[in-house]
Amino acid sequence: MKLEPEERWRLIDRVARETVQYGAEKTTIKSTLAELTVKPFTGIPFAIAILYGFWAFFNAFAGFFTDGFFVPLFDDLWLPWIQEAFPLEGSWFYYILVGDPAATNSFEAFGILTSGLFVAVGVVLPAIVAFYLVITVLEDSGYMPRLAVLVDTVLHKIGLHGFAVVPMILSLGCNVPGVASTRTLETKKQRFMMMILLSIFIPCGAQLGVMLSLIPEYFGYIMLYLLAGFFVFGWILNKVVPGSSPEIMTDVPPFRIPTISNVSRKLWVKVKGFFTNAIPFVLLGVGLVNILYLVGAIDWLSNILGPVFTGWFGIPKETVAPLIAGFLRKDLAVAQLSAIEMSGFQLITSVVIISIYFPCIATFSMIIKEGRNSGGVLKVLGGSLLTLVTVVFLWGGLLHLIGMILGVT
Amino acid sequence: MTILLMGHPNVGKSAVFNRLTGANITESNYPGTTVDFTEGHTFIAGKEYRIIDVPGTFSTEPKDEAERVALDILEEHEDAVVIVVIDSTKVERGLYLAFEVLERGYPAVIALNMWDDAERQNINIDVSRLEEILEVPVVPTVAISGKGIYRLVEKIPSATQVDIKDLKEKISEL
Amino acid sequence: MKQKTFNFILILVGASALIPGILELLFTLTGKTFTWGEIAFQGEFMFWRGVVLLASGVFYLTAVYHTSRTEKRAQAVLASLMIWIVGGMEILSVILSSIPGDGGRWFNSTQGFFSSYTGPFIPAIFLLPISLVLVLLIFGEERKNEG
Repeated sequence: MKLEPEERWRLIDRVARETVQYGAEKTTIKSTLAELTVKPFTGIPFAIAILYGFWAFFNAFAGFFTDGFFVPLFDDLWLPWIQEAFPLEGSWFYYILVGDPAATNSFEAFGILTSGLFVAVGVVLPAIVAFYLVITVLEDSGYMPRLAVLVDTVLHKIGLHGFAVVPMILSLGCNVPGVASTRTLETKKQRFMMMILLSIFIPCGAQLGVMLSLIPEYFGYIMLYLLAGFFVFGWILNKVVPGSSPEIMTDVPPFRIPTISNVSRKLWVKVKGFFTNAIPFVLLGVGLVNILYLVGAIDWLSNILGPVFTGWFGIPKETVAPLIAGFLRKDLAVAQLSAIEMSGFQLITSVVIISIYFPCIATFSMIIKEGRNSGGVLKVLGGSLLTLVTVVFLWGGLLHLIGMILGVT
Repeated sequence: MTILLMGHPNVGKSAVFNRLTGANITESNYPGTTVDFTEGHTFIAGKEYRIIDVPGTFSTEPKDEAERVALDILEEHEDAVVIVVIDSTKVERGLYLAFEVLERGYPAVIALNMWDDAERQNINIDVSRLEEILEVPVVPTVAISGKGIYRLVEKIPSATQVDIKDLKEKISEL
Repeated sequence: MKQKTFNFILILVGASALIPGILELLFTLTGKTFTWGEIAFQGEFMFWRGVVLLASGVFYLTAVYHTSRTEKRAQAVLASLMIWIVGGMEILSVILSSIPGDGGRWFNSTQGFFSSYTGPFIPAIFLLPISLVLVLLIFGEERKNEG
């Protein structure tokens, strides 16, 4: 037998009156503190402090491992040894696995066992451990949903509505769960919008980590430009895509002190996932690019795409190779870009292009999977590709234009 | 036998699941982290049970895809026992879902999770009175620390269906 | 603790956070670095440290105006937390950067290790003890009131 909702509430009301007593709720310092973190006046400076702490921790931690130990390990010991010990110097086999026999640092060697291993283990691994450690602590303490509420409040104040902040913050860890979490959104329009915006504009944890490690001086500009794109195109999509986007409510949990066991378990799951899923892809990416070089495909593509790259985006045509690697791993692509000789502004532009030109394979397959629930795969894919092409050309070209106006190209 | 863990988002279903199965799924202090279901196995009184961590849902009338998944799982397992996980600081909201589950004829056990938060907020819940009225086992738990999980497990075999008509009359007479 | 005493402490701590915060911002904007005794106004991201320090100073000072006992104290705790984020991370980075060596050696020399811990330090470091004492006082008081 099923009850009507009103009937159900009436019965629950009675039961609750009989069994539950609400004592005077004490306002404790802890609960007041929790409120202060979502009020803009106190919440925004606190969020800045948290972000600063994030950056400072990241710098100290990743710097300790990467610059302190992995760089000397790979550059002074591993690289000279393998360049010497590996047989068949001059063959295609040597080229793919070891790369440039004269390279003096692991970045510029470009072989699977040199650059590939170094980027995967020496750069990305410390970066993601530091990154996820902070994310997990913030998540378990209950600060993340508060940050979401705060961002939401600020967005509303400046007239931006309908953004789902929770999937956005999850996407900063990895786009795949970010896209998956759009499932909690109510309308097809919202799901479609957020899926596209997230996968285009929000860089994932691994990419963020590599950017912070290798090109920290440009990190702020790149993020600023990507987030601006997120909101500009979000605003446009909200106008263009039919359907409604109702307000999104987030429940705010109480603050808790994270437990070491849960934090370490989550971290372990992430690190394990990195070893099984990410490292093979990074190595594969390096291998693929080397093979494409060998068969001449990269040169061929560079020559075809060169005019577009130099003319429209203002970046050197050598960036084609990292762009291809970016299909597999964006972190690898950023690392390869940082080894190419170009101006600071070109580096910013090319990292922006790498971020927005196409989601990585893992995210892309998640979009296909989720597309089924959001208005059909074809519709979602068609819409995504259309948005994607528009975004890449407009937003990428605009950056070039900004550079020309500022006179830095 | 199948046990379904149901409840609102962020009431600690995943934590209960980990406690029951000894599994390693991640718990977050963040609503909506479980959007797909997870399955595990456990032995209770020598019998093997299959446990499913259902995505958080406010009611059995789905409003989004994650809730849709939740309803599908519920409907697929007609002979399941449901553990309704309730946030002890928001009993009414949780009971709404519990009622819906009972109305659909599922035997249920209610876990009053986050019991420590309720205590801290000076909320008093008369557990035995609640059990008496609903005729459903009710167990206070603190899933992150494991408190009450053992009693919750003990109560699972004693979960029975509830006659809603009787229940309605009984409550109306209170 | 009497409201008056507490307010006095708030003003004291608030001012000693606010002033270096403003200085850090000024030095960033004028592109200068400055060392005063053991206090250094320099380093990467000084601008943001300045913002955080300034905001925490403002929070301590405006807490004086709250009439609600709890709100006053919560805001002071928030400000102290912000100082601890900045100062704590600085300590961590000093520790971590003191360990690896350079120029062909894996670990730092003993002398190099210890010399990492001689100043000058950023202003937030000097605010750590007093803000910690304040937080301990506040929570100790709350526990006592609860009985």
